[in-house]
Amino acid sequence: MKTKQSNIAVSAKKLSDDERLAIIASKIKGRDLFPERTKSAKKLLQNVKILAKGL
Amino acid sequence: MNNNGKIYKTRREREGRSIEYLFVSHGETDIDKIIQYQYVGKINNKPIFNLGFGDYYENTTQIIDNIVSNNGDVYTVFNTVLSTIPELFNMHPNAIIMVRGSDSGSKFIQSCRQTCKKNCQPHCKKENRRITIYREYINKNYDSLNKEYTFFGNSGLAENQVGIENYRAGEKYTSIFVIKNKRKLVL
Repeated sequence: MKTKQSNIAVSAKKLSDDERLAIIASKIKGRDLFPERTKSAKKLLQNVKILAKGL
Repeated sequence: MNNNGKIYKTRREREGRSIEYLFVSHGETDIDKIIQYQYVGKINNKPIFNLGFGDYYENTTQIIDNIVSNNGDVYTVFNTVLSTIPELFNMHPNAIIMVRGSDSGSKFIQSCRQTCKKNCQPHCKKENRRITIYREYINKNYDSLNKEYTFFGNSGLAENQVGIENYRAGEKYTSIFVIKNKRKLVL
């Protein structure tokens, strides 16, 4: 039996996956979804030395 | 790139320099998941995309990437993430994909120690669990993956100057970089 959904709004319960994902897509459009990771990645790239061949 | 196992159907979105894949994890509950390849810079004129992955919470429209869902479908979810990598390379053949775990680094350890009852010493046992999943997948499939991709690793954190080296199985990298091999023209 499925447990109560913690991160799905009740209003979206009857929507198909495609419909639900379309709504989410409209809400996240243009956003950096993981800003801390992006910031951290950029910082790492500033400090990194390329020791590898082929990169 | 996947384990030839079951994957979820994804919806692709493209906005500016970032690419998103959305899907629903149908495990014990239904959880909306988002993968984002975010452009973060260039190395040798090749665009670098950082792989972000998390759960979408509709009530707050937030995406959380530092919790463990335990939804009972970890392999399907992992395979779904892997299945987007070839697509990214189809769109950006010269891209470098950067993979890191949200549970790597000093911030994670500080945060974990505030709530975790295990009091692991000297090392936090929850640290680096996510990147370890990727490393183990690469190590296990290295020979076959290496025909199509080249891997690089980095063991440091953002605060320290460290090097990106050619991937060596068994090394405890905290960042992995992937490029697609150029196809050789056979006449």
